[in-house]
Amino acid sequence: MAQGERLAGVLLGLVALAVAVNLLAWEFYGDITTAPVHLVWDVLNWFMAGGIGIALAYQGREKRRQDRAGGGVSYAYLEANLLLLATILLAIWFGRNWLAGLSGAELTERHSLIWQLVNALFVVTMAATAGRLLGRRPAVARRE
Amino acid sequence: MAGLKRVLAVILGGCAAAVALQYILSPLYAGLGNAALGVWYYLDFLLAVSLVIALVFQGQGKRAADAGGGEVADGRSRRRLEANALFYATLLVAIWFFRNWLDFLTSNPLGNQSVATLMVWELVDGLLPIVLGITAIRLGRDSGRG
Repeated sequence: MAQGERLAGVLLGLVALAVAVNLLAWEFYGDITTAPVHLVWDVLNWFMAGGIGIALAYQGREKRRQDRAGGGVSYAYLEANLLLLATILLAIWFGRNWLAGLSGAELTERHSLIWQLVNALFVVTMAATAGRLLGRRPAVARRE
Repeated sequence: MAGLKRVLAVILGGCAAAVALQYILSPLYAGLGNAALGVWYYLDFLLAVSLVIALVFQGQGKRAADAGGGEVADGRSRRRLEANALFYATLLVAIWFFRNWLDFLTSNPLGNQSVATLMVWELVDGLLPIVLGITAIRLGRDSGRG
C-alpha cells in the first residue's frame, strides 16, 4: 500500500511539474497557431485526467479518515476538506473544457479563462496531494 | 420532518448531479442548435428553487451551530465552521446565480449575455454542484437522525 501511494505521489508530482513547465514555457513556443503547443496540451490532458482521478480517490479517503477521527478544527482537518473541495471544482471545470476540446466545439474566451484557472489550480492541488502521498501526510487530529 | 428532509435531499442531490452533468456534457451537443440553451432554461428554474431551499436549511443550521458555541479545540467548532462556510458560500453563489439568471431571462435574443456575465456563469456552474451536493448530503444525514 505504501509503495502504491509513493508511486502515485511520484506520478502526480511529475504531471504537476509538466503542467507548470508547459504553462510557463508556451510563451516561448513562438506562434501558437503553428507551434505544437496544443499537441502538448492534448497529450497532457490525458495525464491530468488520470491525476485528478487518483487525487480524488486519495483525498476522499483522507476526508473520511479525518471525519471519523472527530475532534476540533485542526490543520489536518482543514487541509483534507479544502483540498478535496478544490479538486472537485477542478474536476468539474477540467471535465467540461476537456470534453469541449475533444468534441471539436468552438473554443471561446470562456474556455480560455477556465483553462487558466484549471492549469493553475491543477498544479497547486496535485503538488499538495503528491506531498501527502510521498509521506508528508498530516496526523489525524487527536480527540480533545 | 425527517421524511420531508429526505425528499429535499433527493431533490437537491438530483439538481446537483443534473447541473454537473449538463455543465460537463453540454459541449457534446453544442451542434444541435439551441438544445443546450433550452436545457439550461428549464434547469435554471429548478436551480433557483434548490438554492432557496439550501439557504433556508443552511440558515437554520448556521443559527443552531452559532448558538451551540464551540472554540478551536472543541468538537463543536467543526460543525460551526462547516455551517458558516457552507452558508456564506451558498449565499455568494445564490447572489451570482440570481443576478445572472434575471439577466438571462431578460436577454434578447435569449442567451445573448455579456462576456463578463458568461464568465460568472462558469464560476456558478462549477460551484453549484458542490454547494447543492453538500447540502443534500447534510439533509440526508439529518433525516436519518430523525
